[in-house]
Amino acid sequence: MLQVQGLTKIYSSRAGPAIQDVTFDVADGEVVGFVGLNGAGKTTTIRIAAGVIFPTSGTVRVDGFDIIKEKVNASRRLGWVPELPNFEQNAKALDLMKYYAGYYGIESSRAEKMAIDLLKETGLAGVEKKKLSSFSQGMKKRFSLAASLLSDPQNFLFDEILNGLDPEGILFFRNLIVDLKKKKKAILLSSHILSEVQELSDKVVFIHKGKVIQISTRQELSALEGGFLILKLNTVDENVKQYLKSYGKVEVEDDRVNVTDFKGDPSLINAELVKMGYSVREISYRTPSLEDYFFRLIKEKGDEN
Amino acid sequence: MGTLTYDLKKAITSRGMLAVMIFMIVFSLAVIPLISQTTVSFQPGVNYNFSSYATANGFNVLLIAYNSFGQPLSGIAFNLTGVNFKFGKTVTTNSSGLVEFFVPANSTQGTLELNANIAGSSLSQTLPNQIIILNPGKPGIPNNLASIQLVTDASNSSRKDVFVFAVGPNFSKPDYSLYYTIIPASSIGGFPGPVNESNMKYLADIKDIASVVNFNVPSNVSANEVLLAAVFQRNGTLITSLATNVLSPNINISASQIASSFLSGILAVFVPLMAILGAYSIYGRDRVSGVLESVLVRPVTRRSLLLSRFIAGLIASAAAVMITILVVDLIFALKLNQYLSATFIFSSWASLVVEVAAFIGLLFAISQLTKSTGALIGAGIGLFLVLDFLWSLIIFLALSAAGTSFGSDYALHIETLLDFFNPSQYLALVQIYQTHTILNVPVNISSYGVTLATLLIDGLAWVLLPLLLALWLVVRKD
Repeated sequence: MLQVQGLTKIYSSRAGPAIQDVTFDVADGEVVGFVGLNGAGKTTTIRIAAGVIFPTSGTVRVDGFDIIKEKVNASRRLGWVPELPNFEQNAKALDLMKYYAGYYGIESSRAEKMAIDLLKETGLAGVEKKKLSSFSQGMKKRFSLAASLLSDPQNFLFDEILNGLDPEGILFFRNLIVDLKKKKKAILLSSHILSEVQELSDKVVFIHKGKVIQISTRQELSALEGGFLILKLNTVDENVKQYLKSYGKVEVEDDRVNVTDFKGDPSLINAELVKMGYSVREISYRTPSLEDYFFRLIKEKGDEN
Repeated sequence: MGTLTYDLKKAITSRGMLAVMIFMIVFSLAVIPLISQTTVSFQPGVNYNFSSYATANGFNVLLIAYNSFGQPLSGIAFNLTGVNFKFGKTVTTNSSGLVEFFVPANSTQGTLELNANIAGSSLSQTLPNQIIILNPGKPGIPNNLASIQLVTDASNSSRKDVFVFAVGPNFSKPDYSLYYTIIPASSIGGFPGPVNESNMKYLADIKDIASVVNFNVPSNVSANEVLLAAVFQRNGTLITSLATNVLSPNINISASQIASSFLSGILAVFVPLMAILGAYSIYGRDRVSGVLESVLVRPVTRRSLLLSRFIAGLIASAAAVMITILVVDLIFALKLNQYLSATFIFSSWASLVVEVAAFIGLLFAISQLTKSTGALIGAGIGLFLVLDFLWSLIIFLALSAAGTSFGSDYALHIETLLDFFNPSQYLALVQIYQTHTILNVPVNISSYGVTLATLLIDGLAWVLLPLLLALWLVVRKD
């Protein structure tokens, strides 16, 4: 379990806090999406949680161990895959894996077999003797994942792991997250691809300008109201506009009518319009996405910051 | 693979460190043979000698000034003052290194003494004032017909020549003979019978006032034997003789002396550079480029990680320094047929390890304060330039600005004191302690603060303080 409590980070007093009083939990067996615009503070939060930078204030506990004060115990229970993994360029994959294994107290003889197995498991079979400098970004992410699996940790921090991956890579990591969730691991998943987050997450933490502006569960997200209705009619007049206004915000573009924040039944609307003598040439309805919700949140709560 | 083993491998294979180590060895191979061929000890500055004869109303005096090769020195000014009579004059040598002058005196005054002082402070430092004795004797007959001195051969400084200053009546050109023999040092004074031509070997005729005679030391001369040289008049009358050791110290050069100079002058410059490059490779670069984060996410504290890399860097550098010293030793053995003493090797190595530890610690500390590889490289170069490469120049300029004469006792005190605050000078301090000399000047080292206790404290401080600073910074800076 990951517990992020009152996390604040100030890089420079002139620039203001990069994150401020960030608080959330990631329970065992839970995937928590971490969503925000560029520069919102996602990576800073994750890097503090990984123990590679210090918070100005606040704590991160990994299975109850403080990442600063009880670093060794906390790190033993944590795996981190950063957005842009950075390794020794001249090191060979197997050597580096064995080096990392040393920090987990894994004996040299066991470490080699374990490293080979993990490299194979993460789709890196055959590159054991290759230098990291020859790895693509996707391979580095897989290598980073393999290294983080050395101790079979209970908690994972995935920072934009789907970025820059080919479809196969995206599928690999998506399946991996599902598998880890089945194994009751705690996973914090930061991503720009909100559809992936929406699909995988049990809970989503929205962060904007360094502050958590909303934490929503999957149930809350699935019950989101306010879809998007598009209509094409033979003619658009005031009667139609007046009628549709009771279902949402109406915008007219030639023969097309957009109803945002739509609350209603599209089939009933269609039947009613026909009854009113209009010819409905096209009608489409889209349920609200995480993206829509996120931007609405920013609009509503972001300005408060 | 153990983490320390990996760090050690990383340190040993650091390209920068290897490059400096190889450079030092190649440099040693190239330079040591040159040093061994040219290094001899000789007395710098001005040598001079004199002769005089009485006239009816005073003395004629002839002075000669020459260098350590027996070559005449022109333009040397002597300030002459009477010691037991009233006289004052300044004379200057001509192109032959000679100057003749008259000292007026009443013949009843007896033996007179002249104080001869070479003008110019730098020259006077090399030779103290000398008293010229003016003995009334037979008019026109010089009281010092000849004198002998051993000088360095101008074309081959490992060899010796015999310099003879000789005059005839009224300072006319001499017509004498130079003989020599090699005798046991224990026989000086008791040479079998009186010194005469019959029990010596002819070396050369002496027909000029100043003569430099080539002298090949027989190869079978031992350290217990000396050269006995003598000048005879044509009738076989002995004028003067000289018994002197020809082997020591000029030919039998101590390998330790040369190695000491080499190690402090050359290796001490490059070892800090090796340490800086090694520290950059094993920690600094990883730290500022973010690579260290991939390690820091493992179950390890920042301090443990830094300490592990420090120990790895220190072990690798210490090994590299030892290998270099041993290679230097091997080169000396091949060139001079003798090995450096174990004490000398160990003390030099230990001193250089102190320097290495200090520079690794300093670069580790600096890397906690810098954000880019460029800034860190710049800081490393600055560290090397200020503390190592330009240190002597900086001290010289500072002393000059303060109006202190470089080379003075006061300046040596200041320079030695400042050396305690510079890790790159630690070997130099240890060598001062071992040789009891500063810049080849014999000194009472304790008055300069160089004692075993101060050296141990300084060494310990340089090993620990930069490391402690780095350990302090590592938990305060991202």
